[in-house]
Amino acid sequence: MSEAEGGFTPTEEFELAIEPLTFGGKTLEFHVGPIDMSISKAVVYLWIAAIIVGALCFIIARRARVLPTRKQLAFEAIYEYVRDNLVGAVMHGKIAVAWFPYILSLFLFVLVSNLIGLVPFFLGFDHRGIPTIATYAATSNINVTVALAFLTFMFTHVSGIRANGPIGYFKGWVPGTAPAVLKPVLFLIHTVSEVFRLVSLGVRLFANLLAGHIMILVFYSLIFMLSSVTMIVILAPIIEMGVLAVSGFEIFVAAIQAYIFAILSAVYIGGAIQQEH
Amino acid sequence: MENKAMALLAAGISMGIGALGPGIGIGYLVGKSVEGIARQPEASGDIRTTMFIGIGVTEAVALYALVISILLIFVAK
Repeated sequence: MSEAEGGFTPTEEFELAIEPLTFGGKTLEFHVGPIDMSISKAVVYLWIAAIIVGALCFIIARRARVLPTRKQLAFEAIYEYVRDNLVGAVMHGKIAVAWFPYILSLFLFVLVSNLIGLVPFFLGFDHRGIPTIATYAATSNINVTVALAFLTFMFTHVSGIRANGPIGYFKGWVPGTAPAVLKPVLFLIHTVSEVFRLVSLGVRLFANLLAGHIMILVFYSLIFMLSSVTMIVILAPIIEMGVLAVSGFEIFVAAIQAYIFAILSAVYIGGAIQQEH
Repeated sequence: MENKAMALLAAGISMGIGALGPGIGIGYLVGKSVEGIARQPEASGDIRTTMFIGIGVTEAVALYALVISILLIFVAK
């Protein structure tokens, strides 16, 4: 595709997400053996999210009072909701206690990553001297979400094997009542479904966040299609209302997707430990 | 240009048909959940939780179609 000079190319935006950033004329590109450790846009956003989650938990836990402040109450509500409705609903007893920290940190991390994706950041000036303000969510990058899903995938199988033994765990993949001839086929089908759990967990989060950002940007770009001043005066406020509505919906989606990511992780891990025979 | 035109057409069809199934699915899901809540209002919390998980899983199907559409629009030449 040939683009006008300095025109916007969406494909470039996708490539920028994995390209190393430049800082002070230096490209932040690092390689440790075959592993690419370059600092890209997504890495910076993940750092911001990690710092926010860490600082939030640290500050609130340090100043915990018997008579809670408003912030502490809000945080305790999230904590209790995750403990009772998210982990407590799918795991029981000791297992719930053991996996609650992982599920809560996953929930908070994905939630904060999703939400800071809606905050516009000032990126600098482009070649025409126009200030560039952009929104970007680390979780709208497929590398980030599939890596997070892979974490859950590994925990699922490692904890399943630790709880049931390697033979018992893989036996549990096939229902015991199935005829012996069908068992290899069922095992194969289950293996495929386990792999697709990983893919769907990662792609679901990525596609939701990407779709949200595209929707917001499409609504904004409608303004640039207006040609005359009168049209701008009449239609631009209506478009702005549309952007506002979509942004509000995206806050809802950010919370729901963090919730779904966390609860599906809990369901998968709980299911692997407490297998139904 | 011929290939690009076909890819754009395919992207539109993919998104349109891809949204059909999840639309019907989420409709059923929410409808049944509302029936359940109307019958047993005390179980509304549990039903709502399960409903949201179901919506998340069902909605993902439409988003896979969206990903395919985006690939067709921006990657196909």
